[in-house]
Amino acid sequence: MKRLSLSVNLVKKSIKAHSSLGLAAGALMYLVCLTGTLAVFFEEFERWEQPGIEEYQDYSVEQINQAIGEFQQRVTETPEELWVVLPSEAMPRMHISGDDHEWFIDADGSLSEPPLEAWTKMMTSLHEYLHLPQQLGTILVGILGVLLCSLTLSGLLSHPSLFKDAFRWRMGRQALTQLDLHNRLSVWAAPFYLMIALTGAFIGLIGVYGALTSVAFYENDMQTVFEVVYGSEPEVTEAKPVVDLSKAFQTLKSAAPGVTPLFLTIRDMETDGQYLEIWVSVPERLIYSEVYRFRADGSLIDHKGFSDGAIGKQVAYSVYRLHFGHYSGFWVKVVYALLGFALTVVCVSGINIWLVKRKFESVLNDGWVAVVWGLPMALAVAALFSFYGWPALSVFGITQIIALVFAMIIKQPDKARWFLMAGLVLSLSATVLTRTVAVLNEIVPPVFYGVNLSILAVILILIIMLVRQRKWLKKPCQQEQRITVTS
Amino acid sequence: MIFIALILESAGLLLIYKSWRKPQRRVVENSIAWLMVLVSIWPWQDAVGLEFGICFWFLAMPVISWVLVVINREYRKMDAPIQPRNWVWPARAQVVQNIVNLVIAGPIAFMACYVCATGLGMATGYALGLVEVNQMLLGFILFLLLWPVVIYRISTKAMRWQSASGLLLVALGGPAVLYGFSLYGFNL
Repeated sequence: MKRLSLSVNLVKKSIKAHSSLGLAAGALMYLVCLTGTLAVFFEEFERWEQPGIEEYQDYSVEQINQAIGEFQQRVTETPEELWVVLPSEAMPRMHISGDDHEWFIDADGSLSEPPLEAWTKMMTSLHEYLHLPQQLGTILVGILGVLLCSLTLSGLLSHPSLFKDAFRWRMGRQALTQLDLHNRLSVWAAPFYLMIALTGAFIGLIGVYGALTSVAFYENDMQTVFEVVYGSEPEVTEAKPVVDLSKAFQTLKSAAPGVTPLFLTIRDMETDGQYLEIWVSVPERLIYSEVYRFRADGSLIDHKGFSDGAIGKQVAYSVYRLHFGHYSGFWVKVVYALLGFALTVVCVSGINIWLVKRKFESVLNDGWVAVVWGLPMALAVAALFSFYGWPALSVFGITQIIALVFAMIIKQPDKARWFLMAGLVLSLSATVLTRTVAVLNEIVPPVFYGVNLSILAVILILIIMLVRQRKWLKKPCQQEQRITVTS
Repeated sequence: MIFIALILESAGLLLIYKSWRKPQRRVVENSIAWLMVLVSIWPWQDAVGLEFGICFWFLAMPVISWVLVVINREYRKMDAPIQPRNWVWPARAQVVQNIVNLVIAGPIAFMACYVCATGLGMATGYALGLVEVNQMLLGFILFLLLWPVVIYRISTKAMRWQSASGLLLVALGGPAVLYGFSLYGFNL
């Protein structure tokens, strides 16, 4: 095939830009990619984490009404907004929440346990805002999305033999293996990475963009900016005291046949202005949902127009499913996880290439190994200890610090990698074991065993890697010299 | 239909792979192969709808290609040389340069790109008669495309003071211009 003609100067500059950007964002990008890959299956992890909750996909209006009644009895103050999340194929559990209270709903309409805020929540929050103050963290993750766009661009421009090497993977020599792995995984999935980067940046930075726009054009009124994109509240006066859910569902069926209700919200509850929103997924559409609004008597007010309104509104509401991979069933999630994992490997191999090209080892090699293998181990240890009620974030942080200190003390990256991998195997095995033993006499959903089997498959792959790489344990220790890098 | 789409896309990529392995470039073979890959969008969108169909087409391509990459792998056993261990101090000039680049590519480029993208979005919006939400989204999407390109440009070389001051001027002066426009009734 014809070689893509990029000038030598452009390629050199692009390689420089690619390596500087990659080094600047490497560790955070790896963390966000790894947790993002896992977060694709957050529903499955939530069900695995709390397997005793009753699961069903059919629900009735009576069941919802009973749950709302019981919710109001349990809380001291009526919440301003009440949310009922309806069961779906991916999450066949129903739960109700308002203010800071939340409970699962049993099939008979009674309230059961509150959802756990443990490992899965910690892991998804790590992806969303790195456990920093939420706004700051979301912006930082959004900026990482922008950097990923820059990296994709500079990566493509620093590759003069894009077509010549399209299917080449030379294994054996460390530098070439890493280089070919990095390039093949990057080039073929570049559209996916660009999509993930842009949608991630969109989600992370829409708040900042909205704030700036509100200052420039809307007299610092942020609410108006969001109303332009996401629609405004309807004006409702003299509402009936109790929302007629049955009538609302009937109206929805005739107004929008074929849609699937996702959740419902009662806004301004028990006031004269109360109204009902039913959020529905629209078949064959990427929009997160369409929102139908009803008066308390069940008559239709309007729909927000995410499915048929201005194109900007439709685009703004389509980025979420596109980013999460939550459309068209379970197998899309599997492909998203595969591609997400590939992006994670791209992050790691990119830094590995830079480290190998330096032709010497330093504290950076130790630190990088501790990040690459310490992070999954810290996540696994957090999953293990959160089962016993330990705070998942603290366990995660402490384990990551221990991994860093360990790698820096032994000063042999290959050996540190082997031990951290072994630690990962042990913590994953202990997690599967403790969770399985805990539910031996209970009926649990098949997804529980599905997640356990997936973890066991990962353990098996890691054990094979450990056996193959046991020679690293015999590698001699190097004497350290001090030098200054001038270029 | 999904099966047909997968077969068509796989066959197209397989043909590209077969042609790639040959030493001579084969224009006809390649064109047919790429056409097959492109045409597979049709059965995809027919099976799952236009939006999902395009997504599936994009998702299937890397997975199929990676299978071909794995099939084509070569293995040359070679022991990695033992690398000396050094304690590395980065040069001070390099650290300063990186910090300067970070400030320029970060807040300054952010603000400059915001101004340019929003201004461009407004201008396009007026020219095409777009509604408010479309103008705003256009501006935001332009910003998301522009900022990475500017970051890339800044990272390619040591920043010249002329370019940096240009960006700074746009970043600081631009918001005032936008605000002025809004005061005179030009709005999103």
